[in-house]
Amino acid sequence: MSSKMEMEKNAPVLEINNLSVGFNGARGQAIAVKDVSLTVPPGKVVGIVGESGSGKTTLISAALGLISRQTAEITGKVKFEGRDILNMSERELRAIRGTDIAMIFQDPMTALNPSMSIGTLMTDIQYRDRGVSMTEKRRKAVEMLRHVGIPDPESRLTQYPHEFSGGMRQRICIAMALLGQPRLLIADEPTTALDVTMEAQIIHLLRKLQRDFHTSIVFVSHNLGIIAEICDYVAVLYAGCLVEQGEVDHIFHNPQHPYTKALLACDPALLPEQVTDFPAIPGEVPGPFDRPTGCIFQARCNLAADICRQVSPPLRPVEANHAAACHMAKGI
Amino acid sequence: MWLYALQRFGMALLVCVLSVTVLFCIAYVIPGDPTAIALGPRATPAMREALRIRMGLGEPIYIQLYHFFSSLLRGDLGVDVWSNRPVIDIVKETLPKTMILAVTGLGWAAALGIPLGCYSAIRRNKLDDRIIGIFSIAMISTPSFLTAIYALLVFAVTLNWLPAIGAGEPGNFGDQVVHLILPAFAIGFAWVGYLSRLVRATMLEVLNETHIRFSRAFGLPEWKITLKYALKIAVLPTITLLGMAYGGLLSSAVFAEIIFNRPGVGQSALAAVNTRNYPVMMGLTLSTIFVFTMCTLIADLLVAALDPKIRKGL
Ligand SMILES: Nc1ncnc2c1ncn2[C@@H]1O[C@H](COP(=O)(O)OP(=O)(O)OP(=O)(O)O)[C@@H](O)[C@H]1O
Ligand code: SF4
Ligand SMILES: [Mg+2]
Repeated sequence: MSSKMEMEKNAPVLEINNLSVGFNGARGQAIAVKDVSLTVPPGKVVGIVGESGSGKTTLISAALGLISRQTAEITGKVKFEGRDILNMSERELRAIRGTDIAMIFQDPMTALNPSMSIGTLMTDIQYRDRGVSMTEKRRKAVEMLRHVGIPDPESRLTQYPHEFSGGMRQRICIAMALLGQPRLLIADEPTTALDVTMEAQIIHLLRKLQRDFHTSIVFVSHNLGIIAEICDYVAVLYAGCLVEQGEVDHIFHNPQHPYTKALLACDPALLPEQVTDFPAIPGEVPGPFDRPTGCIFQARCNLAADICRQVSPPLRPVEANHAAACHMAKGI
Repeated sequence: MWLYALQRFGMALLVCVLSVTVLFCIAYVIPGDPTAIALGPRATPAMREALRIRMGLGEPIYIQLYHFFSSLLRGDLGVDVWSNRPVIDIVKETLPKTMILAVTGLGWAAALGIPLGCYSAIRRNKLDDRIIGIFSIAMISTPSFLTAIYALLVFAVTLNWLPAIGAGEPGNFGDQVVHLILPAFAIGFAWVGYLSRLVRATMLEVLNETHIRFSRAFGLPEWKITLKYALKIAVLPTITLLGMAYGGLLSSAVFAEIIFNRPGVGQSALAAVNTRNYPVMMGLTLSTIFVFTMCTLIADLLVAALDPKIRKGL
């Protein structure tokens, strides 16, 4: 194998550089994502974790060009397989969506059009295959439904979304997302709306599909336990800022940012069983209009020093494949 | 679906029966002697008494009501006090004319208003959306009798393009169509604005729903998302409204008939009121109520048929 091919094989699928998103509002600009850089290597699962409102959805929506420039100011660079997404026309973006990049949403109950049968939904999105017959499109849909574990898929094609449970609907969403054989799948909290058993099944399914199709996945969640189960890399978001990122094992066994440490300490799934009262992180997330100078986490950090209030800590490596944005983290 | 249809049908029937009863009772408690009103001041007491017995007015109200409903079931609405014609014949003659006028009026309003609403929703807050918005509001706020009079003055009197009055020669289809244009224009006018606003609002709401974003994430073309994925949902409240609008339109059609001097329910009702022709008034009102209830029923069933949740239920 030549070295050029080797390089291409390992070239990142998605590359986000210094992405910032500020929503234009009556009160001025609300910063939702600030200076985030993130790389998704081919065939890997990258987790994005953060509390509600930390900007996870905004980050991935902006990265896919789903946020219009009229509602928000977007700066930075997003490259999908080397192509600049943020400067693409609507037409070019449409060509990418569903074929190169697919997305599944947080709430499967509202993601499927209620007035359309599953068969129609699944054949409609194959509209690009002009030469392909309807029978063939339906066959592909059936095959994919079977793949995601919908029993008796032929007869279910004529059914409507309301005839499926939440878990089944999320499976259908995943099947739809995989129909175009995307190289990147973005899953925005795909299990948050489901119960624990369903959640485990969906996670299992995503892992299996990722192995079968070699799809790279961006997996968004506010649940560290799930991230640990499925991801190769993790990025921790706090109030729109990337505070720590790296390989999943490093983050879990050697967290360096006080916020990550607190998150791990608060995660009920990761706590020893006998603990009865859950610890919580004291203080509040800074609002979009009162972001402090210096470190974004200073108000809730018990290590905060003068430098933290003056200088915003850069993301710097703490070990191989692990970086944290904290003045107190030990560097290498 | 069938169970639902049956339920809705039962409801419609109940509404009909109740409104007829209420109508009947109102007529009963209205002060004054109906025979005196019917026969005029110069009638002798003997004439009044004869009519009173013929109309069954001597009996207690529930007996009268019973008689009324049982003859209603036989399709007997009584007879015209003046001409002795069965009222049902008058209804059969006038109601279809009025219904055609209302259908045409609402038809062109829907054919123009719904696409305008969709277009507005797609072009939201752009200049053309604003212009459509202003025109829609203007159309809504114009009373239909005003539209009728101006339409008459401009197209019939000044420009002399269209006939001003009448319904056209019987049997001459083309002539009848030409005579239909102005009144249909007048009664549909406000509804163009109304429908375009409603469709725009529901369309915008639907376009904001998650499943639309989901479809966009698959790169489906925007026209397909709007016309297939969103319209199918946004059109449901519009159909419900159209069902009720049709009933409302019957009453504007009545005005239009009077202004354009067209035979129909309006003309006959006006004449019946002026001559205190009580059975004819009652018969025309009843048939209008019936048509109105049927229209809302049809609209409901149509919505149910388009909504898989109801269609696939019982
Ligand atoms: N269209 C918008 N206009 C204005 N502000 C917005 C918009 N969308 C999101 N925001 C703001 O951006 C911030 C980040 O929101 P976002 O939805 O990205 O968070 P999230 O991490 O996905 O949260 P959750 O876990 O609840 O989904 C929030 O403060 C939110 O209020
Ligand atoms: S930089 Fe300072 S305030 Fe921020 S997390 Fe580190 S120690 Fe806390
Ligand atoms: Mg979100």
